Amino acid sequence: MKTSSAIHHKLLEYIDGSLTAAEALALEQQLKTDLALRARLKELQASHTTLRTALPREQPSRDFTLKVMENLNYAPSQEAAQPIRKSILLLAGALIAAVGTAILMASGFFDSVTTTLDLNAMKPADLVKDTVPTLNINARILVNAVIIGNIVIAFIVLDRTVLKPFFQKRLSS
Amino acid sequence: MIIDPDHSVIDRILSGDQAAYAELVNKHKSYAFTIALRILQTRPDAEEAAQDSFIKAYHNLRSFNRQAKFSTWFYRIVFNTAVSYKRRQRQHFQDIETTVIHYGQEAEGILEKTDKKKYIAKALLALNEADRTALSLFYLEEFSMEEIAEITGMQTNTIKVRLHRARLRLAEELKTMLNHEAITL
Repeated sequence: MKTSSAIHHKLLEYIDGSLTAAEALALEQQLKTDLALRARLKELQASHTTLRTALPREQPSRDFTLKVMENLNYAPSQEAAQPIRKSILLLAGALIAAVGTAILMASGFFDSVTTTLDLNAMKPADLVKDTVPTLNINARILVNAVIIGNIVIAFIVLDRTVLKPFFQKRLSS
Repeated sequence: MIIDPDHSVIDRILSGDQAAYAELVNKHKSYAFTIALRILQTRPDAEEAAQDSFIKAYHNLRSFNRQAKFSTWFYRIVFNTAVSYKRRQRQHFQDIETTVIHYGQEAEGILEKTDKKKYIAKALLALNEADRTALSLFYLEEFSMEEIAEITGMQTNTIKVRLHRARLRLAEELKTMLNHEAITL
């Protein structure tokens, strides 16, 4: 019998003791009658015990602490600067896209841009017998969605790269 | 308020006792190195990433707000540092196959003290780096799913799914290995 993914997860939660009492009882009832499930539980329990007791913890070099202490007064590598630079570029890109499309929108560029999507022409005729509606797509709605999307992205980037670090720094000082 | 013995050591460091930092390094170095090694798979890179993490943590110790355990905050630095080292490794077009063999041989050399450890080290190689890391965080230091999510910056549900998948995969790998061993005996 092939045990499903959901029951596997349940078995792991049972091993971890994170099932509710009712769920654990239901599983125990199932285990009484299902030999394959019981065998699977034994396998998972064995693997769990092995990992708990013998998962290898690696040891660094003997002079590890000495090296760290010697280098404490040097500034750490500036890898963090690169993601910040990327985030600022992303923020600028999102704002430029939002402002650009808003200007085009205000000038009426998208007012007359509409298209019709005929779903009847695309439907698989042998599977769908009924007539499906034809969609009229207005470019203004799509562009509005793009502008809102860009503004949301800009706010998220602004929050994560500028506001959050700023307030965290203020709080800690 | 979290009671963490590391907090008193941090107080000493912040009041000017720089040498006290060695206590934190000695306490966390093995685990930091293990996490870095799970991600980077080569000992020199893992050593460098772990040392870099300790130096970063030292320079940012004032920004540690003590609402969490020091270990959770620090291992997040280790995780992020190792991941950025990994990106650098990829940029250098490192031959993955060579790395895996190198790690396997090295891991075997260190771990052949016990068969169990040898099998686990081999089985871990079948997992991807994120699953290996989640598994190490869960079993080595017995972090909760929420703490692992905090360290890795992932959602708790994502961690739960990843961890379950890794545990199932590892159980399969161990079973296959042991069956194979029994056949070849």
